[in-house]
Order: sequence, then C-alpha cells, then structure tokens
Amino acid sequence: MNLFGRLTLTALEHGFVESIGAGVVVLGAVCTLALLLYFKKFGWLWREYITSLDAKKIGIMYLVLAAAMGLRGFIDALMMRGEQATAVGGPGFLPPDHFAQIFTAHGVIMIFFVAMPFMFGLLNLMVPLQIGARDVAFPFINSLSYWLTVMGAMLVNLSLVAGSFAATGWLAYPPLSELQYSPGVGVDYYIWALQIAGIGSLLGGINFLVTIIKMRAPGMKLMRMPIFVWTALGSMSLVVFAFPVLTVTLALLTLDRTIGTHFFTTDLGGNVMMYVNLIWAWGHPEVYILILPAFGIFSELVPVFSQKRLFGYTSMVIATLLIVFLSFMVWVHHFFTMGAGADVNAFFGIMTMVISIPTGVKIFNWLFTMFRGRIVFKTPMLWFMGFLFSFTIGGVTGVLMSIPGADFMLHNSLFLVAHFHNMIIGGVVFGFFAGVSYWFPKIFGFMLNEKLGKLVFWLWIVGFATAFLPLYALGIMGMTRRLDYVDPASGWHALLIVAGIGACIIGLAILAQIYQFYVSIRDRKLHPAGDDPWNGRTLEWAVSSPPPEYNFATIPHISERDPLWYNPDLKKIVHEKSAPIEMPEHTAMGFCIAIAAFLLGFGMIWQMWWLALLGLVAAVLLVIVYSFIDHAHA
Amino acid sequence: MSNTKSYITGFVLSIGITLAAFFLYQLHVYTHHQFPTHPELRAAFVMLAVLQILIQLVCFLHVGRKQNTHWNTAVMGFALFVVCVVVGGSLWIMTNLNTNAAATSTYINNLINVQEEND
Amino acid sequence: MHNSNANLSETKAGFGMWIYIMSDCVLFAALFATYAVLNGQTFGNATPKEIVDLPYALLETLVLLTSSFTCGLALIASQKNKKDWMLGLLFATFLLGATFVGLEAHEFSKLISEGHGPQQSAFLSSFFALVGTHGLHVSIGLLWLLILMIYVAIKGLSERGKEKLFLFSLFWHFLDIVWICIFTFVYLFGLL
Repeated sequence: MNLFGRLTLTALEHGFVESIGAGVVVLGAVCTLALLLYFKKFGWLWREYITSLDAKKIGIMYLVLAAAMGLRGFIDALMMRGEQATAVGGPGFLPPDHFAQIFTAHGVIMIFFVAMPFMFGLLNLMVPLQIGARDVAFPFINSLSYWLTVMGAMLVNLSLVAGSFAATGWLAYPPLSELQYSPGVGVDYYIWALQIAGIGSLLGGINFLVTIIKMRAPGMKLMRMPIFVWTALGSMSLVVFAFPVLTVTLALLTLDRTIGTHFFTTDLGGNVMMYVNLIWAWGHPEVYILILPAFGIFSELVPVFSQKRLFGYTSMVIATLLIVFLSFMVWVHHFFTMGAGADVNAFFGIMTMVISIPTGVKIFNWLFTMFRGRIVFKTPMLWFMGFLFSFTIGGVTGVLMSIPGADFMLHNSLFLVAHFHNMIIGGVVFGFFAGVSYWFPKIFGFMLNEKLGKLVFWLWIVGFATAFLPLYALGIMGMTRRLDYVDPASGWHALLIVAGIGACIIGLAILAQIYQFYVSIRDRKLHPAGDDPWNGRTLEWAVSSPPPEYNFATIPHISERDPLWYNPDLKKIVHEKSAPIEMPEHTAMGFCIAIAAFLLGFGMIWQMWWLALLGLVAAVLLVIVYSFIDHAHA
Repeated sequence: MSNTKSYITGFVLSIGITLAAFFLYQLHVYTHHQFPTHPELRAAFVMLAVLQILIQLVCFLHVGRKQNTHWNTAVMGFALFVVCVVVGGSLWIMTNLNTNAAATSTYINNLINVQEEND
Repeated sequence: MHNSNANLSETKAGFGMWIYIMSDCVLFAALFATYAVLNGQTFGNATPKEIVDLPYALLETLVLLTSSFTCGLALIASQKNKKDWMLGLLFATFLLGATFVGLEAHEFSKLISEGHGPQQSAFLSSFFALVGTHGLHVSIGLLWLLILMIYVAIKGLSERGKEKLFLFSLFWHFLDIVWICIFTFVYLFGLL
C-alpha cells in the first residue's frame, strides 16, 4: 500500500497563474506565523481566541475568516472579470480548465466561507446580547463549529497548493463531477471541504435554535424579541432542516466516486437529474439562510436611525415565518429548463412569485418606519439605502425569471448572474456590512471612522452597479454564464469592459475598507464608543462597550419590545453585580477535533487511507475523552 | 399511565402491528395474490406503519405527554413538513422529468425516422 | 415516582438532541426520496422482490424493537436509581443492537456475494445507502452505548449520567422509528 496514496510531487506542479495563487497561500501562511512569532503573540492567540468558548470571541474569529476568504473570493472575481474583459476571439490569459476552477472556487468560497461565516459571526456576537443571555446554549459545540468551518476553508486553500480544485461550478453537477469526467482530486477537495464545514453549520444551527428558544431573559416573550433574533430563529430553522439534504447528496456523490455506486452516473440506472433536484432542495433554503439575518439587521438599524419605532412588528414576524415555510417550496425554479412538465414548472413558478410577497411586506415596513421619522444619515443607514435600491432591482428580476417561459430564455445567462449577485451583494453583503458598521462600536469599544465609512459605501455601490447592471443587458443580449472568452461579433465586449471596471471600483472599495479599519484602530482612543453611541433600543446597548465576558452582571427582566427605549433603568440594572458568575473554561478540544477532521478529509482526498482512518479515530477518541470530563456546559 | 406500563404497552402493540403486516402479506400469498390486492396491501402497510410510529412516539418518546414540550412538538411538525416536501416533491418532480424525457426521446426518434424516410 | 423525563426534555441538552434527531429525519428523507426515485432502475440486475427476505427482515425488526424496549426499561431503572438493573438492561440493549447489526451485515454480504452489490445498479446503490445508513447510525449508537455504560460503571449513576442516558434513549427510539419506515417501504413494499 502506498503511504502517500495518490499524492505525488506532480501535485505541486502548476501553470503560471496557478503558481502565483499557490505562492500567495504559502506566503500568507508563512507571514501569519512569522508575525505571530515575532510579536510573541502565539500564547495570547491561543489563550484569548483559539481555545475560547466565549461567543463574542468566536464571533470575531468568524468575521476574520470571512474577511480573509472574502479577499480570496474577490481575487477570483477580478480574474474572471479580467478574463472576460480581455479575451476576445480566443483564449485569454487563463487556461480554460483554470478558469473553470476559478469560477467554481469563487462560488464555493463566497457562499460557504464568506457569507456563512459572516452570518454566524454576527449571530455569535449579537444574539446572546440581544436576548439577555451570557453565551450560547452549547459553548463547546460553538467552538467546534467554528474550527470545522476553518478546516473546510483550509482544504479549499490547500487545493491551490497541492493538486487542483473542482472545475465543475459551485454545485458540482454530475456527470461532470463523477469520476469519469473529474478523475482528479478537485471534486474530492470540494466534497470534503463542504462536508466538514457543513457539519459545523448544522451544529451551529442547532446551537442557536436552542439558544433563542431556551435562553431568553425572563419576560422576553417571543413577541418581545428583536426582529434580528426572529430572523436568526428562521434562518437557523432552515439550517437545521436543509443541511442534511446537502450532506446526503454529497455523500452519495462520494460513494459514486469512491466505491462505484450508480446514484448519479449516466449508466446502470443512475439519474443525473436527481442530484440537481436534491442539491437545489438544499440550495434554495441556503440563500434564505443568508438573507434572513440581513433583513433582521435592517430591522434593527432602520428604527434606530429613523428615531422611530419599527412599523409593523407583527407583520414582520409573520413575513419571516412565511419566508421560512415557503423557501422549501420553490426550489425547482433553479432548473425550470431541466425538462419538467408545465404543471411542475407552473406550481414552482407561482410559489416563487408568492415568496416575493412577504419580502415586499418587509420592505414596506422599513419604508413606513422611515416615514415621518428623523433620519440620521450615518453609515449604517447608507447601507440600508443602498440595499433598498439594489435588492429591489434584484428582487424584481427574480420575479421576472420566476415565469418559466421567461426563464427558458434567461436561465444560465448573465441575467441570472446579475440577479443573484444583486441579491447576495445588494442584500446579504450590504446587510452584513451594515451590521458591522452598526455593531462594531459595541464589540470593540470605539467608533469606525465615519467619513471613510461613507466613502466605502459609495465606492461599493458604484462599483457594484458598474460591475453588475451591464450583466443584465448582456444576459438579454444572449451571453451565457461562465464563458472564458467571447466572440468579437457578439457585441458583448464593450459591456464586459464596463463590468471589469466595476470590479476594479469594488477593489478600491475593499482597499478603502482596509484603510478605514486601519485608521479607526489607530485613532481608537480618540473615538470611544461608550455604551450606547447610536441611542439604541435593544438590550445590547445597555452593557458596556466592549461587553464583559459574561455580558450581563445581572440578567434583567424584560417587559416590552425595544426594552431600552422604554426602560432606561436597564442600563443600570445590567451592571449591578449579584451572584458570582461562572463562565465556560477554555478548551483546545474543538480545535483538536477539527484538526482530526482535516486529516480525515485530506486522507480521503488523496486516498491515504491510513491518514483518513487516523483522523476519524482521533476525532472519535477526542469526543469520547471530552465526554468523560464533567463540565458545567456542553 | 405509569412509565413501565407505557413501555410495555408500546412494545406489545408494536409487535402486534408488525406481525399484522407480516400476516397480511401471508394472507395475500395464501389466497394466490387475490386478497388483499396490491393497492390494498400498500394502503394497509402505510396505515400500520403510521400507527406504529405514533404508538412509539407516544409510548417510548412520550410525545405529547410531558409538560412544556410545545417547542419539541413544533420542531417535529416542521420536520414532518420538510420530510413530506422532500420525499413527495422529489417523487413528483422526478417522475415528471422521467416521463417528459421518455416522451422527448420518443418524439426525437420519430422525427429521425421521418427524416430517414424522406431521405 | 413522578415522571422525571419531563424535566429532561425541556433542558437545553434534551431540546438540542431532539432538534438534531429531527434534522436526522430530513437526512433519512433525502435517502428515502433517492430510494423511491431509483427504485425501478434495476438495469437487469435484481429487483426489490428478489432481494427482500421477509422472515429475515421480520427477525431484524423484532430484535431492534426489543432493544428499544429494553432501553426504555433501562431509563426507568435509572430514574429509580437502580444502577445494576440499568446496566443490565443497557447491556441487553447492546446485545440486541449488535445482533441487529450482525444480521444486517450478513444480509449485505450475502447480497454482495450473489452479485447484487451496490455497484450493480442504481436501485441496489440506493438500497444499500438507505438501509446501510440506518445500520451505520445503529452502529454509532452501539459505540455511544458502550461509552455510556463505561461512564456509569466508573462514575456511578449521577444526574449527569441520567441525562446522558436520556439523550441516548431519544436517539435509540428514533432509530427504531426510522426502521419502521424502512421495513415498510423497502421490505414490505418491495415484495409487491
């Protein structure tokens, strides 16, 4: 038996551009380690963050992961825009297979290793604070979830250095993802990165569901919860019930690839379309998992920055619950063209139109909140305005494509690409950026530079519009997605150049963001946040900035919505020391179990079966050992 | 109902239901596949399964018999909804796709045949 | 003796375990959906009717059902602080569960040696995946049970131990419920 499975030195051979990517990953890792060593911060990092079970610390680590992977995903985007803007009439600077890996990695990274961690980061930071709890329900599992997600990301990054990534698109449809057409390690990297991170997500979903339902402060009935918590509840319900479908689908693909079963092969009875059906049965709830917390963030900040109570709280809650139910009933709209009959397509088309209604209700509620309010045009509110503009366009184009007949023309065109980026960037990313600009002062104790914040926003929205609005036109003009070069006769080139410029403007926006963080950190002593810089309405603004590890010295009793607005005494109460508080002690277990999972994944990918077995056994043993130690928490 | 009695009842009833399904099938074979018919058997099997699941939920898992477990029931209800959508939806969609794929290939075959006739 | 199960269901751990089990239901739903869709794709190899052995499946069913029963009795014993009864009943649960896995392993290896392995057709792939995943869950449950018994044997029957047993029993009962669906839709329906 070969000790190295199918791992040989040829795995390190790459084309020119790929080598640069590999070099950046290696350089990044080396630099990080070198900096930690130089500043002697290993101990601090280990004690304060890596082994911490504090949800706030874990939340910050999630955000750091999202930011780092966001940079990588963005570089993928720049390369794609660059390729499409320059490659006319023949191949561009990227070989076709490499281009395929880039668009695959871009999608995988952005969804699984940027958007999901960003979301879990914000949930970790703010949900316990908003419900008056000291931590999440299962702090150890929280840590484990984070580190499993990190290991998934590490596998994706490792694929740049050793071997290659999947070249199948971010959902890896068979038969392309089957062994016959993807014999290399790429699809295996994809599978194991997602399975490992997926377990982290599922555990996180269970954790937050239990937290929200069982750990609210006394008196905080459901209808007194902040809307952000309601949307978190909805999103986590979707995580718990959608991710198992992804797990099964990827596992069946793995069986096809490793032991030769026939779930999705083109022979011996396999059904390729079943994969598409199952993966989208997960995939559609996934996008609602991402957008619901963004909606929740807007419901938090619009009242604060309009200085007026949220309009239509009850209808917001009902809209959220409707979205949760309906998101399980629309998934065929991702494959209208796969050949279902009119009845199936019509049903799902109608359901897709129906699901836009509760979203519309939310938008009107925010608008009515602003109406006759006294608007404060700080950065968080600007992000909301940008969202309003771009998400509405995206939503409308979505309803357009929900008509199967129209979708037959637009499916897999750049119109589709423009639509979903509108939703994800204009909706999810703008929402999460708004959340960061709103809650940063609470978590870190100082304000972000407001002028730079506004600059960042404007660069983002102009960049986004320049990069993506032309894609709508290109889609209608007939351009398909994922093309690595275009024909000069198509007439598409001009708009692709515009889109490329847009991507560069977004690049400037990202640089401005980095600069904003640098300036804000540099000037932090000059702009302390205080407990409540925005005149907030919910519990998190009662505690100090940053909050103590235990969040609330005394857990208050809640008697209405927007508790801080109506009961300013809360600000005193939560600081009153009462009984001694015990918080979960640190542990390296989550980190170690995740390392074992990484070894399992790496072993399976490279067919180093001994390593895979070692990883599996180590993970199981660590869990068993941990279960024998009696903790006050899980 | 006391705890032990709950488990014994559930156990006995479950065995009974399982054996009932078994015997229904034996009856079907014994009457040379006349009674019950296939559709009747399927319906009976499903009803017996649902019954046994309910019995085990109540007698073994004490669903609906404990205080303050409304959330547990709500989560189960949602899970049931998702299960029905995933299984039912997949069956509907995939059957639809298979029918249309078969129809399409027949249609194309006919077109090719006509083409070849005309050549 | 009042039913102290009530308290454990409402706890964070009890509720969390319940939610996990509900997510596992969706996992099995996806496998059932795949089985239903690929049911007819036998591609010249064995049909459901040819691989289903009803008396054998009945035996597996009764074994697993009995283990669910003994598990319930073990939980009652733990509530009454009867550690030895509890360990004995858990051991019986383990033996019955191991018998189930053994029976299923035998069923699988027989099918494979007769040329009806999971690589032979889409139907067979989905049969092995669905039934095999359930068997895998049972096997993991057996490992969990073993660790649990060692925990109680070493640390005595504490509140912690009782809670751990309660969480395990949720999982174990649920596995029997999934088996009811498999027995019905794979074996009974397979005969028709």
